[in-house]
Amino acid sequence: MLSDSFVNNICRLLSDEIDSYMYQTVGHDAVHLVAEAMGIPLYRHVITGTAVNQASEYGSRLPGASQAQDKGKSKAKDETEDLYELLLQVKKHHPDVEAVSVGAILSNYQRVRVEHVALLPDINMVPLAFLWQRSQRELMDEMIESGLEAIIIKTAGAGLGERDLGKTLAQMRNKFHLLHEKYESHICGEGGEYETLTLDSPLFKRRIKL
Amino acid sequence: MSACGNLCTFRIISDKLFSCRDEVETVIHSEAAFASVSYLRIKTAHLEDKDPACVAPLICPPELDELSEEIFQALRKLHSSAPESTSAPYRHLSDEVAAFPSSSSTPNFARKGDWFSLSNITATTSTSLDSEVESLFASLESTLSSHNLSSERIQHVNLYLRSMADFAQVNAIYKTQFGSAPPSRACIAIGPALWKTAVMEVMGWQRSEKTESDGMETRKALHVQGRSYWAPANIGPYSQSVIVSLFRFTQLLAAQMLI
Repeated sequence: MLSDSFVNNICRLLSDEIDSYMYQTVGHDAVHLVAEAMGIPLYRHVITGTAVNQASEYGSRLPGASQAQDKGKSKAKDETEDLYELLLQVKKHHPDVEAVSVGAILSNYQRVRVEHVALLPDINMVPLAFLWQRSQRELMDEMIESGLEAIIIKTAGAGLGERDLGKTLAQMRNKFHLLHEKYESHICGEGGEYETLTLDSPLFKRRIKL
Repeated sequence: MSACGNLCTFRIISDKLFSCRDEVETVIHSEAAFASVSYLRIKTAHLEDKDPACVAPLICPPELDELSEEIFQALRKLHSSAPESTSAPYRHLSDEVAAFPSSSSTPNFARKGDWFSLSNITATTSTSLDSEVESLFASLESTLSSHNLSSERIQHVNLYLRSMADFAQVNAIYKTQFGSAPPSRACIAIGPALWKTAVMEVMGWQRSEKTESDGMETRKALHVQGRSYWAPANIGPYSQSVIVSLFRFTQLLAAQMLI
């Protein structure tokens, strides 16, 4: 099941840098290398929707109405439906896929939407959210200790800037703690403070070199 | 950590990441003194073989966090110091419910302030389990609509089953009756004393019109269907917790059981 979930895990939605509530888009030009480094297939899908529904819950509270099947009724397409189309594509190529992994640590927003799509009858995958509600301080240390090497590829938070681009999590750890104390920034960037690209991890068979 | 592990850590920290800086391009997306948005566009990058001996083993985080560990140890202590009882500590539920007052099929409706309750909801037909559960929900719907209410207003459900063997089949129909963030729920198997295969009672909340304020979120649900360390497992079509009436905070919890 592990390798199955990685297939999904690696699905990224392809687009230029856009303001998305759901997806990281910066760094998409290197995502194929992440898949190659792990030795697993990659599926891509172009984001065509926008964050139409920005509520804390997703889908109708009325029975039987899924947003995906309900598309005709609302004019604008929500970006969550792009995930549905991507997972449908994965399911077609790998009917035995059982689970989809979501990396949300703090965001209910993301978790609720991935769960909504994963549990639609024609997708029917178990959503795994093992990072959710973990302590960001602990998680950051665990990631660094595990040998995960990720670099900052986007900054958009208080006290972060161009000079931090390219630095590893290990190099940034103390600064993240400082910014957390000063501005209550999220240590793991859960407020969109920064985005990263992973160059090496224990799951990588080969490492990415810039 | 092994000597090899140490070397790996050292290599990662000391790596000169900017040695090939010309292969990435820095883009300033929006310049601001305080929190500018800038990102790297990766132009060329390649894969490199790594020494398999240098791959650190994956470490599992502890199952319980500090607070949970404390609670667990306290419970353990409490349990081990409790005197061993040889007699059965629990009475069988079916002895109790033999005295269940109602065997009629009329639901009871009550309302107090913003809250309403509807109990003794049962099926009117029962040719099969499926048709019985469908009929039960039909009774629910008709009673709700006779009071100008809809199933969206239901916040908590108590579901009584004659047998837990029906759990999965009942759930399959039950889940089609609610949309996202369904009510919290307690599901209890009563045994042969229950006069129907399934009996339901619901608790609902609807703000009375005069206090209604537009656009105010008055209901929040914790509905974690995925697997995580944090949330209690979601083994049926229910929210783990529903909070309504945010001013006078009322929290409804799904029944949790250690399995």
